[in-house]
Amino acid sequence: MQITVKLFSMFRHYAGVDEVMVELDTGATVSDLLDALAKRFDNQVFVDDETLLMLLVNKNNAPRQTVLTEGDVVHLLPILGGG
Amino acid sequence: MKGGYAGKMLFVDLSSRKIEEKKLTDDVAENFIGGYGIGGKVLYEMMKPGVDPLGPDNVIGFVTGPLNATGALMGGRYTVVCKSPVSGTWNDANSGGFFGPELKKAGYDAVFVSGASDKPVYIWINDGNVEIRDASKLWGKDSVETLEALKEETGERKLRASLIGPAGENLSLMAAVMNEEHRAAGRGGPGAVMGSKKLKALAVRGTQKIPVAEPEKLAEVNKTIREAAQNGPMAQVVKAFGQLGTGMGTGANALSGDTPVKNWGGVGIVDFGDENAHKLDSGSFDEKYRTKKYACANCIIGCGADYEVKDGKWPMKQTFRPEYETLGSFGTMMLNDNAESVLKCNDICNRVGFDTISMGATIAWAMECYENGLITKADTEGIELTWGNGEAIVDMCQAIADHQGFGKILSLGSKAASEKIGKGEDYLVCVRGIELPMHDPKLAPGYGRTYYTDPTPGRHVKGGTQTGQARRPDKYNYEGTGGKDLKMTSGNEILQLSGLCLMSQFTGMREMTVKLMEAVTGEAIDEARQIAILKRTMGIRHAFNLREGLKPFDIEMPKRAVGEPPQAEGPLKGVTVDYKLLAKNFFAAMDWDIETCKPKRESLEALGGMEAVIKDLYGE
Repeated sequence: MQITVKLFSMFRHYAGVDEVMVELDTGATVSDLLDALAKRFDNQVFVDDETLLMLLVNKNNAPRQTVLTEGDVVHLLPILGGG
Repeated sequence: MKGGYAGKMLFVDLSSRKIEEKKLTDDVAENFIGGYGIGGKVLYEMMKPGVDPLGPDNVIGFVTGPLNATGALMGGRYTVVCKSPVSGTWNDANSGGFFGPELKKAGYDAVFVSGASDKPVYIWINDGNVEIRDASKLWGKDSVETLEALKEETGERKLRASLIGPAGENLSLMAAVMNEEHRAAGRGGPGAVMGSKKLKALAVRGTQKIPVAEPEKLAEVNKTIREAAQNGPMAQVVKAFGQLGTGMGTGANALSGDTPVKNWGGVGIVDFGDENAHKLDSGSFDEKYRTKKYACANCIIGCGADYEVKDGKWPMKQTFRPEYETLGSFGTMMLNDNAESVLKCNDICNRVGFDTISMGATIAWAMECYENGLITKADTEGIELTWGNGEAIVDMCQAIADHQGFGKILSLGSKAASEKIGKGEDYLVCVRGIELPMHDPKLAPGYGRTYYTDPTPGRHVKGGTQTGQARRPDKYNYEGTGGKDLKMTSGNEILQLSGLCLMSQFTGMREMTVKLMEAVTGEAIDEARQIAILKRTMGIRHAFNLREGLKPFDIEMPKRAVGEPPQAEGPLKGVTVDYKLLAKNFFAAMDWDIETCKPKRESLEALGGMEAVIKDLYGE
C-alpha cells in the first residue's frame, strides 16, 4: 500500500523534501513507516524516541502502533518550542 | 566569596541619586540562588503593596544567576524583576546575550533601581565604579542607536547594556528591556517601568573574575554536555536548532495544535494548512537571509542569526532571525504566511523595544475585533486589519511603534486597549492582562496550570511540563498531578535561577543544571533542596501577589486556551483542560492552603529565609 508522508520542520530539513510516498506491506503500522523513513533517508532522527515527534494520520493524533491503510496521509511534526 | 557570585548588590535611588552597595549574604545566595529568587527576596522586603507600577516606589532589579560569567556552558541569562504595570502583580522576564555575565564581571550580582529621575539618565558601572549620567541625548533613540551612543559616550566599545527604546519611554505596556540589539527581557512591561523612572539604560563593563568552587569538575561537566550535544540522542535536534533556530518549528507546531492560530480561535491543520506552515518554517527562508550565526554567552547551540533582507517590500541591511514565538504571534495568530512581514515586525519590535509576543497577540486581537466590526477602517486610519494581511500587520506594528493614531491605543496591549475602547473583551486571550505565549495548553495541559498560577502569569518558560508533555499518553489525567508537577517545576526553577538557558534541555542532559551548579557553587543540590528552593522562590513571589490582593482562584483562564468549549475538529478536538484542578493539586504539593491560597505557616517556618512572608501572612 502507498502512504503519503508530509515532512515538517526538522524532518523536512533532514530529508530535503516536503513530501514522500512510501510503499508498505498491508498491516504496517506508523512505527513501521518510521523505520522505513529512517532507512530511506539514512537518519535515525525519524525513529529516535528523544526527538519529540508528534504524528497525525489523516489529520488526527495517532500513536505509533496505529495500523495504516492505503491512501493514508501522515504528518510528521516535531514538538519543539523556544524563543 | 562563594563560588558563582560577585558577592555584592547595588542599590540606586534615582530620586535622591543615592548609590549604595550591600553584601550579598551567603544565606540569601543559598536560599534564593539568583534571578527572580534573589529578586523576589529583595523586592518583597523593599516594596510595599499597592504602589503604582509606573511610579517611583516600584523597584526594578537586574539580577544575574550564579552560572553567569563562570564558563558554565549556556549559563548566560539574567533576569529583570519589578511589579508589572500590566498585571499589577509580580513580574520577571529573562534574557540571553551577554549582559548578565558582564554585569557580574563589573562587580555586582544584582542592581536594584528605585525612585525616579526628573530627566533622562543612565547608570554606568565600569569595573565597580558607579555613576548616574545624563541621558538627554539618548532619549528618543532606538535600541541599536542607544547601544552605539553609549559606546561612543563612554569610550568603552566592549560595554554591554540593558536599555529601553522609544516604547519604554512612551510607557507602552508592551515595552521590553532590550540588550544586544535583539535580546529582550520582554514580558509584562518592564520597559515601561524603566521609562517611568527616566532610566534609559544600565551600561556595564567588567573584568573581574568570578570564583568557581570546583573548576576541574566544571570543566568535566562542560565536556560531558558538549559530548551529549554532539553525539547524544538529541544531537540532531541540537544541530537543527543551531542551523535554523527556534523558528523552524512554528509552522509545524501550528499543525500539531501547539502554536495558536487565528487569535486562538482556529485549528492549525484546518485554517492554516501545510503550505503556509512551510512558509513560516525558518528552513524556508534562512538560506536567503542569513549573514552569520549568533550565539549567546557560552552557548554551544547558537540558535540565533544575523539577517540581511536585500529585496522585497521591506529591505533591511542588518536585522535578526525571528524566534519561534515571534513567528507564531505575527504569523499563525493572524493567519499570516508572509515571512518577510514577520521579519519586518520583528525588526521594529527589536529596535523600538517591544515584546514580540504581546505585540503580535495584540494586533491579532484587534484583527478579530475588526472582523466583527468592533474596530473599523476609520478607527485604524485606513489600515485593513484582515486575517493574513501581512502589509497591514506591518503597518499597524509601525503605527504602534510610532505611538500614533490607533497605534497609541494598541500600544497599551490588548487588555488595556479593550478597556480604552470599551469593546472586544470576548476576544482577549490574557491572564491578568498578559497575552498568552505561543504554546497551547490543550496540547500540553501543564501550560494551563503554569499560565494560570505562576506568580508571573502567562509564561511558556515556567513550570515543569512544557511541550515535552505533548506526547505523554497520561497527559489528560488530572488526578494526583501535584507531586510530579512539584518535582518537575523545581528542576525548571533551579535552571531559571541559575542563569542557564532553557534551550540547554535540548542537549538531552537534563541533569546538567544540578551538575553545573554543584561545580560552580561547591554545594550539593539534592531533590529535597531543589524543592525547598522552589518553595522559597515561588512562595515569596506568590506572597508578593497575595499582598497585592490577588485571589488566584477568582480569575479564569481565557476559554479558548483551555477548550471551553472544546474544538470540534483537528488534533485537539474534544479537549478541555481542567486547569483549576491542576492548580489545586500543585498548590497542595507546595503546602499552600487551597482555600486561602497562603503558604502554610509550618512549611514557611521549616524552609527558613521566609520571615518577612510569615510576618505579613500571619501577623508576627
